[in-house]
Amino acid sequence: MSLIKQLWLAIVVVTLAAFGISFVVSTLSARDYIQQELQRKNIDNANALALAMTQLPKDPTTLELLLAAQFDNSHYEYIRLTDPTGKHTMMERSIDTAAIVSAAPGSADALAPGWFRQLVPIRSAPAHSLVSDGWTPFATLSLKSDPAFAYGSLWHGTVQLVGWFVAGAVLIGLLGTVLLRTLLRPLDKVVAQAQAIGERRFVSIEAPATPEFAAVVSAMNTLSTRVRTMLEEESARLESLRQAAQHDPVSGLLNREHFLAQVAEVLESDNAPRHGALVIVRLSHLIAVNESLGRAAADALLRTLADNLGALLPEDGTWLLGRLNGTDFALLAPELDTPAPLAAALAERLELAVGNHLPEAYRALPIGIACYQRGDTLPQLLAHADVALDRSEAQADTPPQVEHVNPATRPATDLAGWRSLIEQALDSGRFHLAQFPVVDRHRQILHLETPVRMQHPTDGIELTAGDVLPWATRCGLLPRIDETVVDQALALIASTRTAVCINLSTESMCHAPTIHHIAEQLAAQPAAARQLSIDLPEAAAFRHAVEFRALCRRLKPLGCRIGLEHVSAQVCRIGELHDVGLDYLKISAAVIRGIDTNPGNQTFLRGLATIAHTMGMQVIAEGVASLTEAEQLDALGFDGLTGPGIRH
Amino acid sequence: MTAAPACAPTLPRARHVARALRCALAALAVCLVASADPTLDKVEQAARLRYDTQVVERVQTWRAALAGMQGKSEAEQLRDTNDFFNRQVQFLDDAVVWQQKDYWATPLEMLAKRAGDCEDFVIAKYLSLRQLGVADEKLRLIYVRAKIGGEHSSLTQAHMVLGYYETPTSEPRVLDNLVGDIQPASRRTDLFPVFSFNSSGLWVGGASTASARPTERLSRWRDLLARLRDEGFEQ
Repeated sequence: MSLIKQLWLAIVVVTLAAFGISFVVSTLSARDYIQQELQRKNIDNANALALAMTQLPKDPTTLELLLAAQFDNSHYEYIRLTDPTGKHTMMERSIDTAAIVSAAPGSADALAPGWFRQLVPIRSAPAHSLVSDGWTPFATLSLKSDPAFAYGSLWHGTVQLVGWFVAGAVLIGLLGTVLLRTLLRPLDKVVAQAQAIGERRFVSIEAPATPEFAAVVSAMNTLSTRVRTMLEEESARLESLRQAAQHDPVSGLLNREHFLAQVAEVLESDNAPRHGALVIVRLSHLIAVNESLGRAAADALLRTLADNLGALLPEDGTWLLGRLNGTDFALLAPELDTPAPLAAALAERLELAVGNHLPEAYRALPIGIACYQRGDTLPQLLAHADVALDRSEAQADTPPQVEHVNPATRPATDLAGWRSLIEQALDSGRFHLAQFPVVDRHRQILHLETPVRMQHPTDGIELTAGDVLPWATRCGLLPRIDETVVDQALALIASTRTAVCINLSTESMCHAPTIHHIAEQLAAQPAAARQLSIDLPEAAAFRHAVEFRALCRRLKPLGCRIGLEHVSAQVCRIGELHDVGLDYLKISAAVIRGIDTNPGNQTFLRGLATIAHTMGMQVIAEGVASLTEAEQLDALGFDGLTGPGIRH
Repeated sequence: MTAAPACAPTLPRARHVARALRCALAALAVCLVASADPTLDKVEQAARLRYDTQVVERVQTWRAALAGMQGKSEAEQLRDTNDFFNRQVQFLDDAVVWQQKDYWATPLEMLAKRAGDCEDFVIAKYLSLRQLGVADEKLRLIYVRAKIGGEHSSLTQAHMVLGYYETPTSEPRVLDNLVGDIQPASRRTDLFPVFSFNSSGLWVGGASTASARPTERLSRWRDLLARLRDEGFEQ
């Protein structure tokens, strides 16, 4: 029973007790007083009437008139004359006692109900007085007052008493409720924090002023802080593992293995841009530099080169930088349309920063560029890049060389073209969801991943999210696509009764009307909402932390699950999400690829799974290509798998 | 009787007096009848504490007189009681005895002063006869209009006498402090009865304790009842 209910119960009990006591004290003492007053009235009136009769002639008419005058104009139950021996009634006037109970409504008699008369009976004894005829006793006069008015007054008083008590109880109850609410308001925060910790969101809150609550909050804050510190330490350890497994120790760039895995992922991923460029820079004379200037100078040179390459990368983290081998550095620029400006800027910058500090003979920094379409293979791309690089190396002081893996075929080329294309597709309902299963350890479906596809309105080519979304964003059409996706996903849940997962882009996450639409749809279909998962890119959680937290606060209470996809580089920062309460992490295919043969990544992923489980998150592997990889991931503690190697 | 303002109340006051007096007398009667000896023991004890030996002797005389009347016929008891107070106590106005316009003295107070007015005589005789076991319904305190100055005088005075009724319907015999012998009422042509009462009108169905409470609210008679209680009339 809630405290408020208990308070009301206590008030009702106390009020009833107080009423009982008041009733006894007030009503019963009033009853006693009334009885005494009636008795006195009886005695006084009997004496007065007997005195008058004693003085008057004793003929029956006079006596009858006297009796009638007194009875009719006053309030008596009866007036009776008996002979002095008390044996014979000489004259009597009385009201029918039965008439009192059935009196007409509105009369004084009707004021007090019958049960009340029986509960609090008013008993007044009749009074007797002697009427004398001269010296001789003539008759005994007996009379009794009618208690109906006394009952009415007593009943009225009791009803008023009840009214006051009810009003008092209600007032006290309301005051008590308000007071209790005020007192317990800090408790709501304490409960909210406890629930958050129960959901493995390790939040800290300000201690309330109430000392008792403050002690609890302080204890839970300590717990949250400890867990956060532990998570941060674990994340840092994880980061060092990841660095060791994925990075080149000298330059700090991605090592060959990891860089190429990422490139392969970009080439295959639906969500990746449709085309892009791979740039390879070769420090041709590294061995000579090493020999003539020493190892320390050579390492410094490598780092300078890496820093200058890094400075050219855009802020959004979509470009990748890696060291392929001792001399070759690689830059992957997805979505880069025309590589020439980049190549020129790169050549100029490297010449100023690196070439000029080297002896004339060692200055050569050949640059080869290969442009690709999604779907090209990694060996093809590397081969074309090598061709371009070789050409550049062979002809010193030439601009960077460009090779194309395949000639581009583009659905549209400019913004206006894309806008009409996407609008046409939206209007004719050509957006639909592809379905890829995500399975658990027992290969049962966790949910269906549903990347969006757009069918070309005219030639029927199927375009992926990577093709369409960058242009849709620029045209301002992304919100419409998102709405279609959410509606279709909820419909899919309703029809298949399977959990479904949709992708939400960073742009959509930061677009308030889109989030509002999603929230409305989820609120309208609570059952479907519980079956819906929403994937956000890793970068969204960290680059737009405010919007990301707002999204979680808004949508999670509606029942859906929220997780991060393509988790890779930012994994060291998951400790920062200790208070968000994410449901799962999907680890990027770039890390998963070849996991069965990569001990460094195995150690890293085992640690990651442990931390994620501590934070209450599931860990799901993306891009699982083979059964051996799947078995290795099971052993590392992964909760779910998806990718081409998964057969449901 | 002499002209005594205390005995000549106006009519409303007479009613008031009658009611209050009846209550007081009824209370006393109940006490006395309930247990005779202990009551008188207490009265004597009170006399010892408050008054000199003369008064104590008078109380003892009263007790002795009452003891002497035990077992006699009611007619003899009436005569002896009437004679005892008429001889022992001087008839004086309240203003002289108590320096008050109206004062209802207890028997002990009357014996101590050896003086009293008509109400005091009636109270004392009534209480004594009740003490002797005379039934309450046979005794009534009667307000009378008394002609003074002879049979044909038009001068009248308020007065009180005690009436004894042999049967409920019989003519009463009159105990008066102004006339030595007890006469039937018809012989007392100088007296005209106005109203009579005794304690039985007040106490019906044994509700004496409840009915006693309202009387106590009358300050004058609360005072009297308090004094009676002090003297031991209430057990």
